Amino acid sequence: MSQAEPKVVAFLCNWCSYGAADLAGVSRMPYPPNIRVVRIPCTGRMSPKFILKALLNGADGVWVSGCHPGDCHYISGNMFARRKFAAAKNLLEFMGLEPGRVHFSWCSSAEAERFATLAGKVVGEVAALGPADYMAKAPLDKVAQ
Amino acid sequence: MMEALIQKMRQTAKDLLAQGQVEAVYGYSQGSAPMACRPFVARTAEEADGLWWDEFCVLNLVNFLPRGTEGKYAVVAKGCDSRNLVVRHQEKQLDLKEQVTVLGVPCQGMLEPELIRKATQGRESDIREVKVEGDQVKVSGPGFELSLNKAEVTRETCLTCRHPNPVVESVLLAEKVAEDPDRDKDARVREVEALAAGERQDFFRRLFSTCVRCYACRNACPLCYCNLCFVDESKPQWLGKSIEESDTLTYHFLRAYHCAGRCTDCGACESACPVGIPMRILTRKLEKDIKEAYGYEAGLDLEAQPPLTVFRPDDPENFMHE
Amino acid sequence: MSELILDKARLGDFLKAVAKDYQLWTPAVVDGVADYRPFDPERPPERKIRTRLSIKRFFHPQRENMFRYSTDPEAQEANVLKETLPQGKTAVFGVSSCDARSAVLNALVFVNDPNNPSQCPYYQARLDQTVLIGLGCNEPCANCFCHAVGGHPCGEEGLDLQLIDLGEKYLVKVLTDKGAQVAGLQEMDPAGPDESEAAKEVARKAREAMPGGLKLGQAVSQDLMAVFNLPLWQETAERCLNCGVCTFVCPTCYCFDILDEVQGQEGIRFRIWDSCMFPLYTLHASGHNPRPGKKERLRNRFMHKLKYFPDRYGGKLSCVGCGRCVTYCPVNIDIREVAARMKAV
Repeated sequence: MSQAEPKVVAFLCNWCSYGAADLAGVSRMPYPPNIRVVRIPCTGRMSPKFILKALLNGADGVWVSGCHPGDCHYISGNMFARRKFAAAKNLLEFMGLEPGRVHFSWCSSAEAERFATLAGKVVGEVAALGPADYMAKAPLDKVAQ
Repeated sequence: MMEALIQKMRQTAKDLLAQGQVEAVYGYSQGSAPMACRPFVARTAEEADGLWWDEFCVLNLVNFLPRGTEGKYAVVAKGCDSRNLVVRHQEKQLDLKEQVTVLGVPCQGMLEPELIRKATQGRESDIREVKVEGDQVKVSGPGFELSLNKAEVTRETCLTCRHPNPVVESVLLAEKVAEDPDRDKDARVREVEALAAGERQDFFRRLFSTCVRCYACRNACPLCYCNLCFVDESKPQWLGKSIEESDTLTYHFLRAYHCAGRCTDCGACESACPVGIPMRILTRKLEKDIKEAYGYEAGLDLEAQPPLTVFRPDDPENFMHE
Repeated sequence: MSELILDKARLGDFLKAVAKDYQLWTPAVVDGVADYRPFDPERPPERKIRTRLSIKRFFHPQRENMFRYSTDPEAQEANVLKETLPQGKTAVFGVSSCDARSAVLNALVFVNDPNNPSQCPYYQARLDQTVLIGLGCNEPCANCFCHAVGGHPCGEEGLDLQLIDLGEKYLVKVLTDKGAQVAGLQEMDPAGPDESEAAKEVARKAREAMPGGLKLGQAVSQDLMAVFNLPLWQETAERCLNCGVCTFVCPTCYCFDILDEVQGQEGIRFRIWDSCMFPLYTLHASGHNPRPGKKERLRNRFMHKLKYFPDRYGGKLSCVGCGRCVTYCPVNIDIREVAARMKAV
């Protein structure tokens, strides 16, 4: 994070949340530009490896968003994901990651306004925590000693 | 008591092998150093005489079993090990009904060599003999002799064990022991949960500060049997391989996470660690959360499905945004 | 070679003098575990402590940064490799003779290979900057066997200074020029002939107390393929976890991996401990692995240490008999037992 701008990696499912982001953009709804979107086919594809790698590579926050339960394009991908998210979030925060760095939500492709609001919320919470250094690779200057 | 158990183990193994009911018996044999734990496979009735049992059989023999449902074998299993047999059965890595004969050992708790070594305060390379006498463990070497309370050098997971008796049908090699399936295993987890995020960061940084990334924990774990471990993936590479703190924390997080809903707390990971890191706290946290959220404990029900492979429409989602 | 006397009560003063010129490491027990720690002047070591990890970390650390570079072709420093050589003088006190020998054996590979003129500048820099102050063993540890691999409990190989415990005092042997320059020696009195004899007696008794009947060097004279094809390997590998603990605690295991990590447009190349026990160690880019299973990898480790290395380096075994692998192997694979069976049947 340079200056005070957090970097948030957003994993959005192709069918719902990515569509919502798209609709928000097309509708010219303002939302913080800090999110970097990674499109995945379904939240069922999500793995904690992605979250950890984002953090290692300097993300200050990670946001995962998918279809509402019952609306998954692949029927139940998000239902499996829900259990995985709970386990991952709890363990990450147990290990000391500040609550407010990793976020999960459901947002359908019609909910552009909701997407913009959520983006604001997520970025706001991450910004309040400052740059992430726990679970982030140390800068080369420090490592090269 | 150990003597009778060993005799019954050897005799049962001999009978199974001689009658051709199994091709191999997985157990332990006597080691070559104090506190040694030596896994052993007997394939003939003669070899069965090499079977052994003592308070240092700390590894989980399920880790050494071949994968697949072909070929019948028997395996010596404590309570926790038997639960791993159930997990492997659920994951279709073996067939508990047709293929595996369980030689069950109702367990009275295993000692932790690391705790005994630490108790010698720097004299661990001088330990010549370790003897269990009643509720004392006598440790001796040139110039020193310690008498330790057995409870103080028993593995933490054993002190809080919920399932010391084998949970599946087995040939019992000793009398069942009393068990309390609701025993509290989570005191340490609660202590850490009560810390603030910053304090927890310090706690885990300190905990893993001596990790040399040897992967003994992963290799001793019966759950870690992936053909290609995430650590070794290179396209993409998920984490660095050096002892940089963030990489080490990531490794332990992901390994624990992959055991979610499957870990029976057998403690082989901690027992294998050469620098004595008590990393079970991560899997304990996961299992505690899973028990609270889904009422599930790993390795107890052959017909059950692991919790991360199923879902309920009303699973908790209070951690998600409104 | 001069011999001096140091009263045990004055050990702390001597170490403080050393610590003025060097970053000094001594064995210490923290949370019950013995390891090399930065010298604490308040608590000089009071007795011989055998550390869990060896002095390998001072010459061949778990991570050795090699150089930094830029991946930006427009950068002013594009194509410049900035070496990150280790800096700073280090002294290590309380080194056992087995560990000291390991520094010499590993140096054969990194800087002194008669068949290979290239030298590792990082290892050489550490050799140049490090002073080893040994403490001879008065008796063996539970699992050690230095005498069976060409060493001695009070051996001097690899050390700059060596202390021998005579009870109330230490005999201090000055073994190299680097050792002679260590501060604090000038305050010591020369040793008398009695004390010199007493030290020899300590060494003799220690050697006598070493366990007999070991055959670590047996494979050196055996036919390579005969030993290679023994059923011993499959039997032993059955319980091997391929966990790598043996390679990490071993003072003479030196295998490493070289990795690049990039952050943004800057990168660093570094070396880390690798292990022949890991499947990735010999995995080719094509996907082929010449050591595909535990048996091949376990066999390689013992063959390397007890056959290939001595074949290449004039009969010296790549083992100093410290016994750490025996103590810490989770499945009790014992090099003494394996070596005894490494012969053509």
